[in-house]
Amino acid sequence: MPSLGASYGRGAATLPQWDLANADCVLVMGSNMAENHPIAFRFVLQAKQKGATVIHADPRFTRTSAMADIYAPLRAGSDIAFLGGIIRHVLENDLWFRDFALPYTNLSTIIDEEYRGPEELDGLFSGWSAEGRRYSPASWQYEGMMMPSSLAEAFIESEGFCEAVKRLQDGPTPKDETLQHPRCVYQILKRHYARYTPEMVERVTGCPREVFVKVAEEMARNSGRERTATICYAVGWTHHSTGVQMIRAAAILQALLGNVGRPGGGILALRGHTSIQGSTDIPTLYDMLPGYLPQPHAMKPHRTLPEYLESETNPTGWWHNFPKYAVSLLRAWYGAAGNAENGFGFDLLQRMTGDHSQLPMTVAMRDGIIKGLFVMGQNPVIGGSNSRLVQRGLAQLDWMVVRDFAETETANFWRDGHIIRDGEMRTEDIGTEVFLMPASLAGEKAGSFTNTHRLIQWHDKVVEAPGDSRSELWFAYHLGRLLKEMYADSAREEDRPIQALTWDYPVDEEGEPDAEAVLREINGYTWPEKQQVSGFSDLKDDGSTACGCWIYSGVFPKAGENRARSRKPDGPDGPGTHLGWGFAWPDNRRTLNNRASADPAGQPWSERKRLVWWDEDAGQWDSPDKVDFPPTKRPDFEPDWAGKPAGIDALSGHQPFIMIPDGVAGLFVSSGLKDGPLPVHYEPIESPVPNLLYAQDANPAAKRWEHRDNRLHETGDPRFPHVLTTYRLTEHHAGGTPTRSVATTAELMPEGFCEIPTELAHALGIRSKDWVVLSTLRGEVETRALVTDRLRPFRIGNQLVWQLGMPWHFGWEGMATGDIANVLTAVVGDVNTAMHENKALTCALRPGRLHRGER
Amino acid sequence: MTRWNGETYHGRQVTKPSSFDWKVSAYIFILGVAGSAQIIAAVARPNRSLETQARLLALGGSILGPLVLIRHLKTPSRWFNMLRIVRPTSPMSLGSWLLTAFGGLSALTALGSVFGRRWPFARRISEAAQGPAAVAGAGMSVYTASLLSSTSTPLWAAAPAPLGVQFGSAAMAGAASALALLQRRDGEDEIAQRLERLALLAGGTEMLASQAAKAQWRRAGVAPRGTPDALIKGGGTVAGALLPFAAHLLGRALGGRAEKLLPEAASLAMLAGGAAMRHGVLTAGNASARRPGDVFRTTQR
Amino acid sequence: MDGGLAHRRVLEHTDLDPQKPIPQEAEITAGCVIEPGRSYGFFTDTTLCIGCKACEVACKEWNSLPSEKGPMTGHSYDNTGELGAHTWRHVTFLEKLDGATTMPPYQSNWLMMSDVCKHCSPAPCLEACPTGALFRTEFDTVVVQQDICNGCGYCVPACPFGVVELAKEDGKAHKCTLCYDRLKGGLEPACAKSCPTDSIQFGELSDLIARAELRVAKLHEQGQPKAYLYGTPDGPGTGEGLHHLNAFFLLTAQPEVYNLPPKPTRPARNARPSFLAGLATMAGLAVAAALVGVGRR
Repeated sequence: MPSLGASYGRGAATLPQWDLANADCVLVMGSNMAENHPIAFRFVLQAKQKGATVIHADPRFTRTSAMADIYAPLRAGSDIAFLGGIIRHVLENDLWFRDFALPYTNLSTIIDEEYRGPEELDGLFSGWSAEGRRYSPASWQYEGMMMPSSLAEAFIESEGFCEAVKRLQDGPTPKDETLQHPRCVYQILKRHYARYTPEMVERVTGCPREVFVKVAEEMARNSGRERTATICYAVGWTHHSTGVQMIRAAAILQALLGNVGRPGGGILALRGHTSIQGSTDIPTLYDMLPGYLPQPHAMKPHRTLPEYLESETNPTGWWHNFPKYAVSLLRAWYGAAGNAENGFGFDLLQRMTGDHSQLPMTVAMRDGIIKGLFVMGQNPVIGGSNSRLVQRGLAQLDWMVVRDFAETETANFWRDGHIIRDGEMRTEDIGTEVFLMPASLAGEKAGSFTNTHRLIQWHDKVVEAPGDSRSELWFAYHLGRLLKEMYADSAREEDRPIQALTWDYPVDEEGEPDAEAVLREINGYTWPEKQQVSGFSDLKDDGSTACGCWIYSGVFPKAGENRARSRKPDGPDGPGTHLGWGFAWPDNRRTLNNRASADPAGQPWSERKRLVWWDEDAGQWDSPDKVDFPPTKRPDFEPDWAGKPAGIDALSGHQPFIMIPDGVAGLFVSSGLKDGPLPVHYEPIESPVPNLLYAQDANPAAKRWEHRDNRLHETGDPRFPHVLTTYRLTEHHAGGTPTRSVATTAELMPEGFCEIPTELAHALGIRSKDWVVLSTLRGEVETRALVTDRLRPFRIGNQLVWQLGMPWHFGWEGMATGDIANVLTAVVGDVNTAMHENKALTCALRPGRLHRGER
Repeated sequence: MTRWNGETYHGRQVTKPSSFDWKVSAYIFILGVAGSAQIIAAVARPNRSLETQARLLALGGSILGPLVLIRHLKTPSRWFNMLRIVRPTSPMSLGSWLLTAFGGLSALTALGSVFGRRWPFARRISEAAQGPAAVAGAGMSVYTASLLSSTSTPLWAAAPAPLGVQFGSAAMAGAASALALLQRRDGEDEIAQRLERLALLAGGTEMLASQAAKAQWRRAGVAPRGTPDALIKGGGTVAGALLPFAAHLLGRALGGRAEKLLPEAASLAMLAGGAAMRHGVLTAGNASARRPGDVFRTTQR
Repeated sequence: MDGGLAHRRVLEHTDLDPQKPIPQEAEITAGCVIEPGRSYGFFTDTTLCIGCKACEVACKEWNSLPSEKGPMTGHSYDNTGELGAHTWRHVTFLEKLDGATTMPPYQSNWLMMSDVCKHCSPAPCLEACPTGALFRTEFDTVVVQQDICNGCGYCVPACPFGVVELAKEDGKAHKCTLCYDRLKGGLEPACAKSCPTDSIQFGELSDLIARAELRVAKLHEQGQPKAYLYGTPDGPGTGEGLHHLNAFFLLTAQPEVYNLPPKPTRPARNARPSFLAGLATMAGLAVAAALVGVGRR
């Protein structure tokens, strides 16, 4: 999310899935798309049928690789070296789309003279503080100008930040259109990636150089005026300590090649099936409010609403509208309890004090800090990193509520868990009181999914849930209602937020709240009349509108008109944008930044790739899509700098990235990312080999939690010589609970296993179906072997590296069982997202079982 | 299409083996004996005792055989569905009708032998039925071979004609041996000797047919292995032909009690051998259906 | 941008009650109207198969078939093993990796195929069935009538492809019905409808064959010269007496690696030679019996 947000302005897929059919080249990397997104992969095959080149770059030969024209094997975690190599190839050979990238990216922008790159500092950027283990982005700024981020946190801790960013309103950013200036982004990029030569790519990633070059050439050949290429990624990128920067590298490449905002071009972030896009839009994340608004922070100038708005509002670009969205959200939440004195309820919002994500939460449970836990739609014993640490943490709780439709491993860790199995604890010593409550499945409740390309689709309830199964909405609503009742008479200040919360959803005779009422609130309405607003352009910052999530505004524009329920596809003669099918945020725009599909003068780059164009006669932009640009802003519009333009008025008519303060794609990102303005190849935190590119092995800024239950392997630890990657099989869904408990899916992959390269298996005397034990300093698991040629050895530098793979979604519950891969993984993560690194770690392998004699 | 290079799908079976087990082998054996007995009955004139024994053997077989066969059905109560249609392409369907006809005709022929003295018309009926009964009996003796060959089981399908000869001659050997034993019991040694000669002739034919079948199987690459192979060899060639020949020769050479006992032993050996051979072919077929190589080899051309 | 993906007729139904059935839904989902008296079948294009097994699950769900969970087979990702009484769609997986990185277009190096009853013409199982439980439907498909089958088991060895099997539970023969019930309701079979990549295509046989031949030509042109059809008239997958398969396949390797016989034949052709040879033997032996004079006193 942060990488696409920082680069293009919104942290979401830039194109709809079906637009993949218009691509001339599809690079699938960091994703096993055919297995985990088979429906989206349908459109890759449609592109293929029209002649597109399909490339899969992955550590494993998967079902996706089988469908590719080119399979580029690369070692898990070496993606930035690979992508950096392509960027270098494109720059060195002048294969980039100059007419696009020059006006539409910050390629020509001049960077502060204090900036130093990793090529000079041997793997670090300027601004690194060794004792704080963090960067200051002060030296990463534009020359003479502070660039706020387009991410949820605009504010950066830097002296005079709020004043400095206002300089954006004084005039255009410093540029050298000739690209000769040594500190322009183009020159910085060239220096930065100079060492990512094909030879170096081969040495670092293990991918044969001719394969790498072929991939680079295919990407370049299929980009430009007439052609477009798409990159699809998924958790194969995000689950790394460098995950955000991997996506950043893709974003840089696509912007250089002109593959953003155009038909068949872009970056498709493949989200998880369980409305993962929706759960970042209206987040289950601790640091964001709905619609990518920053959660107030105790250490930032967020004491009052005006202070919060002042520090977080970008002077230029669309985010200048931030106060409207923040105030409308507060109105939706606190209704009449909000007033000018309490900042429409802002004073009632809790402040965060640090990282409250799942990884530190796990550690905090283990250390007895967290006492109670709700587990909803999750199975942390299976899915959480370092499962033994998770289980030890759960055992320290006073109480835990698990809501699921089947008994999960989390719900019965106290009986069957590893800590019991291994004799570390006895069931009778675990004091955690567990409440297992039955939850209903999708078809048993009404609601919406937000899919991978921001498409909100409503689903009706079709069957009654069995027994006492209830929806999440029912649970959350009644929990809130009961809490409000319990605290109704309290006079304590800390109970005010609960008392003030608007909590008046209508319920049916069974107590089930009306899900559409929630969607109506998300869409927004006028206050206090409660007339639906037609979209986010109606929202105000004076408290006269309420809106639960501004980017979703427009999904329910009139009473009775739920656009998420709309099911009108384009027929065979239609344009193929399918504007009548569901509702895509924002404002039903299907391709983001689609102004970029036209040249600066407003004409399509080519007839073949036509999507948006300026209609001079009508004086407006025209498109079969909704235009992601002010509808009547002329292509030749220039801001009137004398009048200190603000917001969107400070962007010209040929700056398509309206969410970014300077209106162009950020190749070099000055703020918002905590581990550098440009992607650098670092080894995973656990790697069998040192970093061949820099002296710095792993990402210095990555999140690590030192804990005796979470010990990490040193680089090249001979006890743990193999690379391990974890993944999911298409046969199982989510953490496996939905499919392991159903016979028809359980039989397809009935047992857990570890994939082992044939040569390594031979050397160790392992055959398919034999038992093997994998171990790390976090724990040991036993599982079946599946010996396969689909995993191959890698020669990294002068070292032969073997890679193992283990699906992570097995457990002891259900019909398809197996040991838990996450027992092996560690609690470490990306500094920007606190996302764990479960795709690349090191481990040991031996044939046999854990408990000998026990069969 | 390139020729088969030994590649299989993880070594898994291509075709499925039949569910046919010893009950089907027993049926083939019993109805073979019964069917061929009717042929002997047809040429038994003027020997009424042999005729009666042959007819009763046929009737007994046509009662016992179906009972065994119905037990093999997974839904025995629906045995009558076999007579729901006539499927000309299905040896099983035609065989069911043939069995019905044979059973009926056998009953009619037996009628004359049993009640002929009291009711002359019964004799007339059975005489009229004898010819058709013999024809049906010939069919009963061999149709089981075409039933097995009309499948995709490589070994059964690889040698249809030799299999027909094999099953038919084994049936005749069995019937002649059974009747020879009965005649020996009755003290009719001369008749028994003639029947034994017939049995030896049939056994010899079967041996030749076995060699032909084996050659065809080998050519097709589906040669039987293991126990089924031993059953075919031991039952068809050794017990069905070589041993009886030897026993007869030895009996004649030794004379005395051996001259009577050894032929009786030879007849028993022929009966047992015929049953073993059928079971061998049946199980060898099931085994070949499980071997992907057998299927691929027989489906290249 | 390219045109829409949906069939023209979808537009007629977008404003209707979603609970209401759509008449002749197959026209929308598969582009063909289902009418009695015409031949229908499957074209399974392995080059588009991603091995997701959605067909297996859709089939079991629609037909209420029990699962047969066993231990893992170790045969690549195939844990179903083979078609059988309760498995009417089965995806084969065979790894043929040679270390190549540049591959022919579409599926290569890891071969996957969704296998199914071939609904042969003529159908050996049907030709073998003595009870008439197996019959040819008005859609030219082959179906077992469960209320007639008596479990004689003769169809099982008759099938050249190992499709039919007797269920342990009820002893009756079971196999793919090509969703006979769905066809009667104007619905595309469950497996084809659930296939995300259109590797399984349902339609009228002549249309499917024409489509498949175009696809083969296109694949040859795009750099997959090994593509061929298995089961179209007189091609591989057919043999003496076995004219064509209503469910046919596009393959890129020899049939054996997909567990398919290269040239299966019509088993019933063996009945006559076997029976006649036997009868001749019996005639000979009858003459011999007469000559030996078994009845002479």
